[in-house]
Amino acid sequence: MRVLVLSTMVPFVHGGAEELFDHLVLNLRRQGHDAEGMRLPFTWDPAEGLIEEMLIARQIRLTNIDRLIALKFPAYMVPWHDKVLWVLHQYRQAYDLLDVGGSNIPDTPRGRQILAAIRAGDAQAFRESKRIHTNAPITSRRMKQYNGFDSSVLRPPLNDPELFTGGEAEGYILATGRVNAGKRQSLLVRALRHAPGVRLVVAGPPDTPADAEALRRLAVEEGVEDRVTLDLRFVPRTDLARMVNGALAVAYLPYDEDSLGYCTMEAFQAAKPVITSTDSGGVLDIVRDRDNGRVVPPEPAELGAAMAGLAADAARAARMGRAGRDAMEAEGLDWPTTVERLVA
Amino acid sequence: MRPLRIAWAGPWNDRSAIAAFGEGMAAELAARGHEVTVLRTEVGEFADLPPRPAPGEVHPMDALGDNTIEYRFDVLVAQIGDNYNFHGALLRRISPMMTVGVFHDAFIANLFHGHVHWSGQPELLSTVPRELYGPESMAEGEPFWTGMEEMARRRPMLEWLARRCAGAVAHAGHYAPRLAAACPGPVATIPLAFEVPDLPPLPRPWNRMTVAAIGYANPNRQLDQVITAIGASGTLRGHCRLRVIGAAEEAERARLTALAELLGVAPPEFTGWVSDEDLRWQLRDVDAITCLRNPVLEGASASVILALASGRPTLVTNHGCYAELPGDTVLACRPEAEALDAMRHLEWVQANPAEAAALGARGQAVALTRHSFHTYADALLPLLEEVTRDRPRREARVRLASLLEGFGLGPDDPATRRAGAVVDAMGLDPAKVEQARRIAAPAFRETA
Repeated sequence: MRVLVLSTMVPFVHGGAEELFDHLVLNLRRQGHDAEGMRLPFTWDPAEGLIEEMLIARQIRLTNIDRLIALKFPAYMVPWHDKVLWVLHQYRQAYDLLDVGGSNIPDTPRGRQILAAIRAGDAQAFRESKRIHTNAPITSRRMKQYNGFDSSVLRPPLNDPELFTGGEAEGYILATGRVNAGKRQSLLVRALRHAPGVRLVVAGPPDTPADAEALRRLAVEEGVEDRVTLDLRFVPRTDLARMVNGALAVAYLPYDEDSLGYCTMEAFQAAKPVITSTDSGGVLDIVRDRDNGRVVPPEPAELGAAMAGLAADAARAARMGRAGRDAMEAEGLDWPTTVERLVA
Repeated sequence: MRPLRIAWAGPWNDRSAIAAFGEGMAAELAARGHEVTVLRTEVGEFADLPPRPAPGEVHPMDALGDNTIEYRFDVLVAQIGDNYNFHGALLRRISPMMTVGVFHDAFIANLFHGHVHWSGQPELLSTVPRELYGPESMAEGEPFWTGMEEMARRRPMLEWLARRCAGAVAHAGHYAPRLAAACPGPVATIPLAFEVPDLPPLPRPWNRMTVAAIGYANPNRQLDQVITAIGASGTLRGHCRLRVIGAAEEAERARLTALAELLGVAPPEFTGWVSDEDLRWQLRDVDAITCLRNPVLEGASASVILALASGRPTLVTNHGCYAELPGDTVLACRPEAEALDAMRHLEWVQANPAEAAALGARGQAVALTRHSFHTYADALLPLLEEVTRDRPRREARVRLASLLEGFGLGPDDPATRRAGAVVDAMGLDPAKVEQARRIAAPAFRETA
């Protein structure tokens, strides 16, 4: 099948969505399809320009393909008779972010027209699609709530599962992913006071130098700097995998995350239990307390107790880790299964 | 100029003056190398009237699909007159991409009313005028029809179709500005062309005088004023009669006959509808022709051109398209004093036959030059060429507007105007490029 994967791009911005785009094209090819990727330049400011962005998408004419897989607003508005959406997110400033005052669309008559135009354009794109998948239950719920369209959840799988083979636990708890206030690595540093003897490794790129500095200062203030390793940089995948494979457990505490999170999947792929928080959103779709990890309130004492408990019983931690890998397999979170569903 | 593939949409029967115009124009355009296909727009029983001769194919317009028309022709020249029976099939086929509307009338409320009636959408009678002319054009609960003069002033409905055309033709200057304001494309003012060859010469002066009215006799033609003029003059009464060459309702015949009797005037003659051949016969002893109208609802009048072409002194209303004729070629009557002016003019014709004949000859020269098919084609073809040349850009604009309409944004939305401006700027016209810049810039100033 000749498949075109379509998304948007903001020059020099590269994150999870861009990774997913690249790996989707790659894995389509691995599964024997002719696949190409195309990304439309996109900018959301000023809000008035969003209409032109949609218009550009609607104006694009495709030829020479069988299936179009579109990922993001407004790329999913490009017309094609055999179109499947895998919506990572809509233009959230016209939906849930608007409701909480986080939108660039002004609350004026013109702003309301722009809003209506976006919603009409979305409805048009959803209506003409053969199937709609989303990356997470929350995305599906929003689409149902705001647009009235049903969709199925198709979680993005790990891009390089072969790296996360698992291994002997070396006694540290690992916190991966971007470092910022929303990911709450600071809670883990504070929790160490309540987990005597437990070692913590924080490995990931800080969003800003201030984020890195704040974490270093906190470790000193808490008097746990001798038990914390702060490896604050973009960690190459092989290094990261080595750290995960040697961890006792992975701690991942985002606030109200949409998806499972790559950190969760990497941990489970390596058969490591995940420590998370009761308000971590999509992570809770797969992490079960005392089954494949720990789910505790976002309090240092509670987190510390959870960390200490796992550190004290490595065999139990290993059992939970294996249960995590089973949960991943049950979800079918692998590229062959995902590609199969997208080209079906 | 390269040959154009022209779809000429309009009535094509012997009863319609617009069809007569069409026949002459189709022949003229074909003689210049253009491919002319006639698409008949009559509806109901009128679609079955025998067709006029044509230089190319003749089809009922409904027999051709939109796509066929779009691909087969460069331009659709749509004849728009105020008669649903003759023009009904055209209404849903006017395309903003390729239609040049030839507006034979400045008032098309009858056409609109017919459309509303036959499409079964009575609500349009109030919503469309209010949308076009504002709420004051039609109060809540007000019936659509009122006096003709008031209708012409408050809701002539010209804009209903003008705004859907890619270009437009007015036959007189008095309504050209309205067309230009409503039509998004170019508008030309071209005097109507009409030719009837072999008209009988002006008869020799005699002690009796015949005044003819040509065409459908309705109260708008002010024939009662002509009868009053004859009756009011001692020299005309008993020596002058009115001949109505054309169809007339029984009530109108009775009204005019009763008036003549009351004023001691010879009863008017009614010929009923006549063929071109009969028309020539009926004109053989006619000394003058009346073309009065009040109010003036038409864009131009074929009958006044015919009258001028016949070389006979012609009474016209000094208003609307009639006021645009050269003053030394017609006998102008003030709208508020028609009978008085008509009386004075007819007395002058009676008393000064040589001067009246000279005036008729001047009128004839105007008819044969200003109102010839040749002159009309010279003015029409550049407009058709311009509309054809701009068609790809217009198609792009329509497509963008349609996409934006899918987002719920109408034709007046700033985004639609910006999209149109971007398309306009894809050319060499510096004025349009500058205009596009002005329209598009404010929204993006922050990112400039």
